[in-house]
Amino acid sequence: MKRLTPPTVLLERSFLEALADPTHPHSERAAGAYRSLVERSRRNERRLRARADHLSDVAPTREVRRTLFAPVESIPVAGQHHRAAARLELPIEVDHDVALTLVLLRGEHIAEVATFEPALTEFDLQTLP
Amino acid sequence: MLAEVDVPASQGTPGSARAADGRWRIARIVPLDPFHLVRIVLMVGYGLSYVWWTRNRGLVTDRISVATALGLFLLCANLGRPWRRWAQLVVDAACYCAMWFAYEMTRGVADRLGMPLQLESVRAIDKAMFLGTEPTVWLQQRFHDRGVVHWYDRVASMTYYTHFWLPVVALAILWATSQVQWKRFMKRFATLLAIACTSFVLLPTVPPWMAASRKYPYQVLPPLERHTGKGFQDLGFYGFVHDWNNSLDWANGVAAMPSLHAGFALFVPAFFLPMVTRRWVKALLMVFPVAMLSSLVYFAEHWVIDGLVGWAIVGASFLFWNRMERRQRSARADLALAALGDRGVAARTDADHDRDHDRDHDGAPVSA
Repeated sequence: MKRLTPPTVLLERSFLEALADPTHPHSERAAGAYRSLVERSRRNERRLRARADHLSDVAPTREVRRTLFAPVESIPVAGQHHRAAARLELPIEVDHDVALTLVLLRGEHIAEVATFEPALTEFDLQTLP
Repeated sequence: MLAEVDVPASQGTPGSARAADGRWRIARIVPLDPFHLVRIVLMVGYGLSYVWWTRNRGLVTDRISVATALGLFLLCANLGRPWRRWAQLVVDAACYCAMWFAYEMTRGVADRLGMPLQLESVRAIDKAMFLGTEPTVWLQQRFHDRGVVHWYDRVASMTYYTHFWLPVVALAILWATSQVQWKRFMKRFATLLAIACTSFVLLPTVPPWMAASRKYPYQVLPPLERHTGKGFQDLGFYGFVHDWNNSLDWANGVAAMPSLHAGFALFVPAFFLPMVTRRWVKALLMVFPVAMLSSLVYFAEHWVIDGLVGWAIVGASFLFWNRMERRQRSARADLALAALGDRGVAARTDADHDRDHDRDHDGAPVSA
């Protein structure tokens, strides 16, 4: 059985920041990976999503949201996600934002993340770039 | 936030919190929301209740009862979800109800607008397709015995009645599991209904049972029996229609072109077809719409051309929306790449290029 919806790649805050800022030290790597992801989303092989709060922080203007992040769908973050993240008992120390990302990854069944956040590499996720 | 996690000696075993490479398994250390299990129990309970209701009170067929049943299911499926999700659900439900309301209203007014009734045209097309034979008359003369319910009457009747639950069940499952696929389904479904409504208004068509009935002035066919429910009732089932349906003037006896029974019977398998990998399963799924159209013709509910037009509209709706979705994805990708400019071109690995090149030639999208 094949899935009707292609697998999702979550674009995490550190990746979005590197994409949005051409002077960021990881800008080139992020842009290279994003090019590939965008082409896959064009072919409906990947669905690109990002946390709504990350997107609005990194792309505060509608212009950036409509152009650079046009293929990216947002994942709304609710109060119950924050509460779940606060309750989370993890084997390693992570900040609330990473815990919140983990809660959303679990809830949305996402296994692939584009990130430069080292804490996320401690989990069984496929990380890019 | 830091916790002692029980790590069995052997990493990578199914019960271990760590994978074989030593990384932490999210599925083991991040719990799903506490309502997840409650929702599953409620949905299973709802499914069992639906089956019980169908068996003991009858298959729900009127629109308002169907919408109520669907609403109850969605309550079960969304318990404990964020408020934003509920707001989205209300908007979606409003669109769903508006779509059916528009459909029923159009059906209701279509026969009062005075457009010329189609009878000889559709009859002539059917006869031309079957080399002078009337398919309904031929089928009933060879297979139908008054007072006797054959096995194929039961199969045909059960197939006919799937119209009242199959699209709704498909829609409910998509609604509960995937907003993206629900939207894809609804766009195609609403297009099918909109074209069908337009056709009901412009081409009111006399169905075969009416064309043969002594109660109507046409009587261009030998007597035919509309024995649609007999097989269904013989198996101990019957339809459930609430009293409120009788107070609504939504009936339109000449809404035969196109056949939505045939259309829905193709629509649902066609939507889920990309999930199926085995060809024989795909072929088996496609037997269902053929069985539906054969049943409709056998029961004198529709002309063959009604069903074929229903299928054609389904095909057109899928082609249109598949194309639109491809264009939308492509336009968004172009915007993103244009905004990137030259950045990252050098950072793309050779492997990326090779993979994209291979996919361009051999790859198929996950769904159309």
